[in-house]
Amino acid sequence: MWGDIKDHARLRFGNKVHISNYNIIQKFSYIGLIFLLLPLLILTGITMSPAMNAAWPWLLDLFGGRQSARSLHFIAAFLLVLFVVVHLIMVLLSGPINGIRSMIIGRPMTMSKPDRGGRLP
Amino acid sequence: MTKDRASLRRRDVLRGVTLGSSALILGGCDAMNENATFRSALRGAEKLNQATHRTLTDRATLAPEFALSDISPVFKTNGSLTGTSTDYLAHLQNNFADWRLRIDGMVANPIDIGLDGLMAMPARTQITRHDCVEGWSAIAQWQGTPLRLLLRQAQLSPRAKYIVFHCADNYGARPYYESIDLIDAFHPQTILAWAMNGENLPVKYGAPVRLRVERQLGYKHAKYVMRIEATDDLSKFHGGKGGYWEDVGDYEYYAGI
Repeated sequence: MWGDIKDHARLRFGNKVHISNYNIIQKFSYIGLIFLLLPLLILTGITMSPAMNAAWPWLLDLFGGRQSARSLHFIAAFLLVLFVVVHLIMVLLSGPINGIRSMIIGRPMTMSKPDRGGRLP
Repeated sequence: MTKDRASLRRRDVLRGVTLGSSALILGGCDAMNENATFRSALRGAEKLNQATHRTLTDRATLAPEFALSDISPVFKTNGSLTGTSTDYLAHLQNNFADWRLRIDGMVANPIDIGLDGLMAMPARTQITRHDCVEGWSAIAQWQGTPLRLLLRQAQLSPRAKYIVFHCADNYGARPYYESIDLIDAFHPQTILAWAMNGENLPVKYGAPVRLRVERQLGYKHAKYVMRIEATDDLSKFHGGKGGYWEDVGDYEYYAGI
């Protein structure tokens, strides 16, 4: 996996990448975002509400108080921004027009232009 | 080969345009903020918030209360550090001996009550966390008269919908004021605090009495309360939005967040 990370950082995506499968870095990123980061962001945000502290005081126990929740919230927000920046860069580098078209018509990118000789990322 | 080179350049142009236009979108965001319809759509979120909170809490559901050992060693002062009206300053000189809290508006029995009178009524002591909109919190012990006792004594009219608090401090030319609805007014933790951390409420924290509304943010906790007025229409007061910061800074009226 470290080899994958190094290649990714060098923007070496490989010619024969089967684009309809997510690579391991994408999988970890998306799992982390959807199941860890976003729930954390939402729950710590709710914890900062004085009314919700009355409704769900267990949130304060979970995060160690309003100020801890606030710190966690800022950290999670920053990580979210980081994700968005990296995500947009990756989208732009992997052919955004083809990518969006693939999402709409349902056909993966490698199939749509065979006569380019596998030049796609 | 040359075909690839052309498409490479095309791709770069496309990227540049996308990045450039996303920068323009940010500028567009500010333009949206100027639009009245957009802003009123955002305002709808406040009502949704309030409805959600009121569904998730009982009328008497309490904000968290703490132990004496949780009291913050330093409690930040914020807003005005003293009342500024001439009346207030005279009362301050006199140690509030002649100060009377007036409760009127839509009540059958308007009251004038002094500090001694308030302290003689049943009091509630609560150690609660003050949450400022700026992000900081501080825990203190507050002791004061439950607002609902005063409203019952004043015989609140069934037509009344809001309780307005008129304060003795001015922000520039405008007096500070705040208001709450009846659910919060009759909440067990809503008190007019005249003591803080075991001592008479200090001037910088709102002497002689300040409001506590424990399920809402700090700016609702009016200091230097001089007069309490029951009403059915907030638009009659100052900027019409129910509080100083609501009028001037577009703050939310319902501050439970």
